[in-house]
Amino acid sequence: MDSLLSEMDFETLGSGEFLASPDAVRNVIGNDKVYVLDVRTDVEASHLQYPFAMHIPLDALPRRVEEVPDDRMVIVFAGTPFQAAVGYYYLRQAGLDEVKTYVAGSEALATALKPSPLYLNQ
Amino acid sequence: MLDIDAPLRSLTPHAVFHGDSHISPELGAMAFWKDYVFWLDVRTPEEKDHGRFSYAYSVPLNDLSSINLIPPAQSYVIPFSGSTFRTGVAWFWLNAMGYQRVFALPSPIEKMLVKLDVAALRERGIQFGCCSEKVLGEQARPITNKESNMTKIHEVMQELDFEYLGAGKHAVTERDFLGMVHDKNVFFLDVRTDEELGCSSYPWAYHIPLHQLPGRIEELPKDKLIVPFCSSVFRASITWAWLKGKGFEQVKTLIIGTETIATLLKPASLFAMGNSLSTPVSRSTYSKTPQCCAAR
Repeated sequence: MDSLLSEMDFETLGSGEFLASPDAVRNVIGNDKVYVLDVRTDVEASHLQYPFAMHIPLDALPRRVEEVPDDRMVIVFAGTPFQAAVGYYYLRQAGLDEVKTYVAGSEALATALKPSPLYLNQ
Repeated sequence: MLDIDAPLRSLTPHAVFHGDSHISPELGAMAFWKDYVFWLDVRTPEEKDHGRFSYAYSVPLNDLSSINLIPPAQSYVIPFSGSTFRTGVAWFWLNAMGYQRVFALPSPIEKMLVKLDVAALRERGIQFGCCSEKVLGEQARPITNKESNMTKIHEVMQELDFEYLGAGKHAVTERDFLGMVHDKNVFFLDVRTDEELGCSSYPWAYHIPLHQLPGRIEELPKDKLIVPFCSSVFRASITWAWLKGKGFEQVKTLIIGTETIATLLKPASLFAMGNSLSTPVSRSTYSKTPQCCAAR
């Protein structure tokens, strides 16, 4: 836990290597090498679903962490940056190395998933 | 000849993804001063009292169905207004009437104006107001017997005056949205493409892609308030006009985009709505695995 925090110096945070942008999320849709993990609550997921992501709510993550693959890059995603960051920290602590956090919020993702940006994916 | 199904059928996924119905503010600015481009201002006279666009040809939305515009051959007509809803309805009407080369400017006109290269315009001796010399013909449009079964949409269009629009009778806003998600008397109609649905889907909505609506009209309830929505507001507005034209009395457009919907579907606002909200009314018909959902 301590070593995880000690990684987070100015240089690493500044380079944004923990982060995934809305465009990055859009670009990995359909890419089997990247696992998008949706850690929103069940209530949120019952209102808005992201079929390209695997949904494991934060409160279920400790007992379901085995489901998250350790041989692929994982992007932790939620409606708010806070939830995603907590998910990130938990996965790193659980021993997963290649983890990125989506911190832009679901509004920016909604923009990225409109027809013209999606068209750029093809 | 009026064909109110034609605008919907033309918005195939291909057209939607290529943005065939739209003109961007950037492109609009480039085409601004061309004499084969007609800017059609469909705002109300009340709004025009507060700001005129002298380069645009003005026809209030509620008068649009009473006249025949006569654009010169090979010219482009670009409807715009203060809101995507009205621009969408104008686009719908012009396409239903069979006008060619109609492109909506769904964003506010100001977004285009700021992109105008004022220095370049001055170099050409062009100033605001120059375009008033362009002639866009206009004549009264008699409603023919042939169309008598289509007069509904004409009546609907005539209603869209300052008072109607100002009172927001046509719209569901951010304020009302969440409560309606849990209202069994409301039928949310998602008119986005299958591809968009494969990336984000709404269990409280019934999905019919816009271009399929004319063939699937019997799936829509007559006894509920129908609320069409899309990723922005443009396609939803077209759906509104079409449904009203088909005789559906209770229709309101959701005038927020998916960004605002995303904000409203976060814990804070869902929680504020009360604790019984974990199960929105399920109207979803989408069961097959979406295309972009990789095998997981």
